Amino acid sequence: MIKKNFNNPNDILNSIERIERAKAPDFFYTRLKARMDKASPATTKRVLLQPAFIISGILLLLLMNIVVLVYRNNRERMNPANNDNMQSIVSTYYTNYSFSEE
Amino acid sequence: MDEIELIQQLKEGNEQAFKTLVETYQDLVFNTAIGIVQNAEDAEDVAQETFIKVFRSVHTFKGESKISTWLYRITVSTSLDLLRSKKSKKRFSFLQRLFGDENEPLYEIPDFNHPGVALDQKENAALLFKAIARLPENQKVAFTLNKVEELSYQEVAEVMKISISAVESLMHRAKQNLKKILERKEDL
Repeated sequence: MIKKNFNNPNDILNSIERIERAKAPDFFYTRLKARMDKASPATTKRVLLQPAFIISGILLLLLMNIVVLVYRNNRERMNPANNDNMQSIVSTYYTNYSFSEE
Repeated sequence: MDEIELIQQLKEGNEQAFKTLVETYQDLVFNTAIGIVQNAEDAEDVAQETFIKVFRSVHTFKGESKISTWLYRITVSTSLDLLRSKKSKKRFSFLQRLFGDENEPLYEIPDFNHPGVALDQKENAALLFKAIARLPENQKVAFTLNKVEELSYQEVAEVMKISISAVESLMHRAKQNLKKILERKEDL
């Protein structure tokens, strides 16, 4: 009987000379797809954090502010009764100032 | 379907093309990963991560190299990232032990048996893989690609983006280091 010499470094180095390729586990693609589908909410979050989305969001907020301001200005111009309220506020805080043109 | 057509369809987001790519190259990716990370579960994790990276970055693939070369590069870098993260976790658990947290056992590399090794060589191959795990990264990659994945020096050079003479040098140093490690086997 031939006794194998496990202690010889050269034998050990040659032990993988005729190694066969390891095969991927069964249903690898199915598990990969499941992992990709599971990861998709994170992808959505990442897309939402892209600069284009952030800038669009800021622009939308600015636009909404401008619309509100324009709307309020128009309303005040069309309803001069509000000037009386302004007059009372101004007279309370700035006693020397008057809205009326004298 | 040839490589150019496959890449074109992948860029268009064709799911069938992605399935074809995975089924064609899954063994190549898995075998490379298992040779480096030396654990079947980790190798599957690396293989999945590799294909996810491919799916997300296919638009950057210019076709200057073969798909297989590109896949080898991603697999190698993903495998090395996993080994580095395990190493840092191991260091952290060592520190935890030093500072009195006795519940966490120190992480030990278990014996690895590559599924493709002949039965009569399993004991020697397990010793060799333990020694390979101790090599510096670039020697480990060159040796694994050449001996486990059976790539030529030319192909290893393309994957590692180095010259053939650099691969020869890496292989020579890897063999010298492996002999040194194997000669004092009590460390393994």
